[in-house]
Amino acid sequence: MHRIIEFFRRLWRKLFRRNNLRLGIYGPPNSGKTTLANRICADWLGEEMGSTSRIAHETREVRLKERIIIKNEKGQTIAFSLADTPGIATRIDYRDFVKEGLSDEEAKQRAKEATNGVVQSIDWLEKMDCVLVVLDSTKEPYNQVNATLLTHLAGRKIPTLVVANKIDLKKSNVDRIRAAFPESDILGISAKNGDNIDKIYEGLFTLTAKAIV
Amino acid sequence: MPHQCVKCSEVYPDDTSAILEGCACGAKAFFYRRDTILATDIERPGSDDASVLSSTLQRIGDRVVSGDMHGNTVIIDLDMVRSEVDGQYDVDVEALLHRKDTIYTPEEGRYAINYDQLLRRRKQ
Repeated sequence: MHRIIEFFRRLWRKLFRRNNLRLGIYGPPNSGKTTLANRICADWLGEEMGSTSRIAHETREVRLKERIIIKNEKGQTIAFSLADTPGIATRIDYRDFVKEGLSDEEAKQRAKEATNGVVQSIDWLEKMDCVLVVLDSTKEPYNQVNATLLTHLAGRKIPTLVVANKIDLKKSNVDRIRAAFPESDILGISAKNGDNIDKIYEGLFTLTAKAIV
Repeated sequence: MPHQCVKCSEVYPDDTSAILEGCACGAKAFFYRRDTILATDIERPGSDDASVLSSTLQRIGDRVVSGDMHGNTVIIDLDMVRSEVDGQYDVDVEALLHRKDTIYTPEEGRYAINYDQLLRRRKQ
């Protein structure tokens, strides 16, 4: 039965969603997911996805941009919907937001919304055809959230590219991410400066091709 | 009437060839599934302690097997998102990822769980 369902799922993608796959941007808070989403949207739609902030959990709801069409040097195109998701975390504490200058009330509200955002992110994972997992390359990559998320995506055979973001910062260490997740395809970028962003677009062609095989 | 594999609990409609050829898991035995249950049941374990949850799942599984279910969904009232202090939350990401059948409602802290999948996991 699972094989039949998978067969029809692939057939559906081939026939109807080949040119409109859903790409999800996932990862821990403050890893640069929205910055990357903004970069992709700005490059191909001429508009941004959403606001960014130095305070974690700025994105607390899944945001979707429909029908982004990108083109490579060979003239090939792919179309996809892009979902920017709230950061996934195991602990959300309003005191972290208070330290950043929010009032107690604002911080507690933000914590509640961020928690709902985590659940919403995970709920949406079901709807994704392929995923970019954005990690902050200045931070220790091997933690419960990253390991659990990547294991889950591999288990579900959702084509995934790990984006090691913030390579423009001195503390960046992409090799540490490669060592932590040797099974994953990893690409170092700076979403903020646009470093290696072309490689992301090349990677998206590979990723979406895997999603419709 | 739908058929359910006795080994993996996969449910097949009654006109499928799988009933003659066997389930994808290799088993060839099926039992009829009563499809008359419509309302929703609620289970309140009272604690998320592993032993309490285990016995709750056991009890739900037994009810499913015996046909003593009133709904096609059972809601287990527990916290996969814990908040002991206002504004501080612990999220069990692994549990959320693996419970693709859950629906979260933050105000009530409730999760709706499809009992077919619940039973499948229990058998595994």
